Amino acid sequence: MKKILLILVLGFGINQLNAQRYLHLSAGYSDIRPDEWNKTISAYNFARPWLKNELPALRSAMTYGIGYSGVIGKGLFLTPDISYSRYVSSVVNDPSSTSVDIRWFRGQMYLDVYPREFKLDSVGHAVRPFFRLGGGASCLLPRVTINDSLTTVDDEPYTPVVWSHQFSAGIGCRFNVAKHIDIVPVIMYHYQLGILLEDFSYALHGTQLPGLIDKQKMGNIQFMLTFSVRLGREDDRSE
Amino acid sequence: MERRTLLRQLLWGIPAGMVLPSLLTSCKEDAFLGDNLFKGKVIVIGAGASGIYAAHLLLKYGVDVVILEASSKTGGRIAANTSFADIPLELGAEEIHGRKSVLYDLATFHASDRIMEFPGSDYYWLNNQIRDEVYLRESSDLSGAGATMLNILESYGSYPGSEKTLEQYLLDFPLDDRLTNIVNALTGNEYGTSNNHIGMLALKEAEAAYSSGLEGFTFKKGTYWSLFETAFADAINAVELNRIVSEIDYSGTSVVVKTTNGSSYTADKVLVTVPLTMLKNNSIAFSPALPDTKLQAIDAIEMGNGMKVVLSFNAPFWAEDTGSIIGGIKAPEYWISSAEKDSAGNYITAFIMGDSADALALMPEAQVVQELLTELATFYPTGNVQAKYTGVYLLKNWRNEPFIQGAYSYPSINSEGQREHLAAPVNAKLFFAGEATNYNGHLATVHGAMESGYRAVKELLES
Repeated sequence: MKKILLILVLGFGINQLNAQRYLHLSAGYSDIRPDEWNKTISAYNFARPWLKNELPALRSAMTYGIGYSGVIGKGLFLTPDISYSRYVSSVVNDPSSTSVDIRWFRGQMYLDVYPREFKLDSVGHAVRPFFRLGGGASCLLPRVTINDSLTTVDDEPYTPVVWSHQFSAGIGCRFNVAKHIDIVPVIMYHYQLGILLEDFSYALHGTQLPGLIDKQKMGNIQFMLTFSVRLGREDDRSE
Repeated sequence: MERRTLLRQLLWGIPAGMVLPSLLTSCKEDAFLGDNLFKGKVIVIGAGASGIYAAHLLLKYGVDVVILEASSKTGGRIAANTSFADIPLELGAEEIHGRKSVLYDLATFHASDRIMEFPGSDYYWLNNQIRDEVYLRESSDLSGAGATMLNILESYGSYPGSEKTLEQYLLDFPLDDRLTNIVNALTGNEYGTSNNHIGMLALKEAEAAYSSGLEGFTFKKGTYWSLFETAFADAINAVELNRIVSEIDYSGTSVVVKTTNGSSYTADKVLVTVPLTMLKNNSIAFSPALPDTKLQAIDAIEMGNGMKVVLSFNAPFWAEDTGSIIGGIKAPEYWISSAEKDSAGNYITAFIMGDSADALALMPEAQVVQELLTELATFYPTGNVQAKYTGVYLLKNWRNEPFIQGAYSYPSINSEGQREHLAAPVNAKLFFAGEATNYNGHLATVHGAMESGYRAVKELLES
């Protein structure tokens, strides 16, 4: 089994040396809808009506990513990618302050399908639409800070490392803007299978309330703009 | 696809992709409360911490609220004397337990300059001397039993056995009377009773759920209740004092509440926040009768007696860093009420619950004071305790409060799981709050009472 895997990896590697390859950096807007976690935040506000400013819901964040794309067949690319988002809900009501801060690392493997290029050995279109399917794992680092102190659960600092998985789908288009350089807007939808932020409601409230659930399935929409640098051969771009 | 067509599609698609997520998220409020919230009239019975806080929340949601309080003042088991000394002295609730609670947040918001961590160190009455925690944990005099005792205190939440009293449970360990007295001070007395009344399963339930933190805070200026008066003035304005509720009829579409002075109030719903003792002694007649599950819960959960005695001295006889003195018989715990406060006096509060309070309650007040002075003189044989006593004291026996009749509820034998029944609404008309209804480990605390308040308000608004 190890030999087969090794041959596959070497084969892919040799193929990549001679194929279209891209390194890309991306940045964009990411929107989550963690209804259950936001109910916990809503409950926090409900129980503290004296706060002039409410703790806002977790909604959007900037996302940054780095990845690689390598062709694996006519019109097919494999794109490993890692991204980082930081979702923050914070409020200051002098002299007190509260913050929910979720750092979110996502590792993905995408299959990029360029439907206009199935019959072409090489491509050089200036505009290349594609759709993308994939999946991967997420690592979340949620932290709750009240009055600049990390909250505790069972007298231990609340510093969980939470793992989850997601499926992803998206569409994008590769615009060739200069030799070796493409700009690629991508709209992605990630579906998280279920993220358990264990003790999140305890960490924020100091108690459990009826109706609050720490486990969350959710969708995550991202609009990313990718700066893509071509690493492949010079002669494979043709109209 | 033509390039122009593709570009047109992208021109529409990309902005749509940016805007659509925000539109979708704005459709749902992620609200803690459901839809179609109740907007009628509510009678809250009891103007203690849970009743006042719950009323404040209801008022915020546009509910018409009246609070009926049986006594002549608000506050319930939060009460202070402001004339005995040059500092206010809390006669009821005194401590804010932990940082992680709605109460601590309230205090830091409204009174951050008025609260402080409970000052000083804990000392223990052991081997005829006042000892510190290092001695308790490490001294060879105790043959490791001190460390064993501390481990017991920290592991109630994982108790593996069947139902028995805490007193019986302690027999499984090599603890002598000195150490069991300390356990009694730190558990039985802390929970408002004595070890022989604590049920291990209910204690396990409470300790496993407790999550507010172990720090303790108190007020260095002002009083506990002044915090509530500042934050919840709207609710306090809705209080009608001296309204002793005798009957609640919830058989019709509206709920009719009658008081002993012949007044009658009608509302859509009623929130009952009276102390557990008022339910146990049937002070209020419910029509129809409360469900059996609730009656069983009222029967199973107990509330003991509680007494505080403040003694005044013209000079300290205790070590300067003393916070509490733990392990007495007459008073399981004493603390220095004037520590780190802006006071010219020297005040010790004896915190006496359960059997100790019952025993002292049988004596005349002067004898109670003498018993406590004698015990303190035993702790500090060279301290000239009697000579330094100024001859004035403040004694509060909560059993004598006619509409409270005790301290607070405790994890009694065979009461495991019963608090949820006590808290449960009845027919979407009767709702229950108060520290005894807190089933998340925060019974017997002010923040637990407040938590039960917002739990009940949520139930009520969504009913």
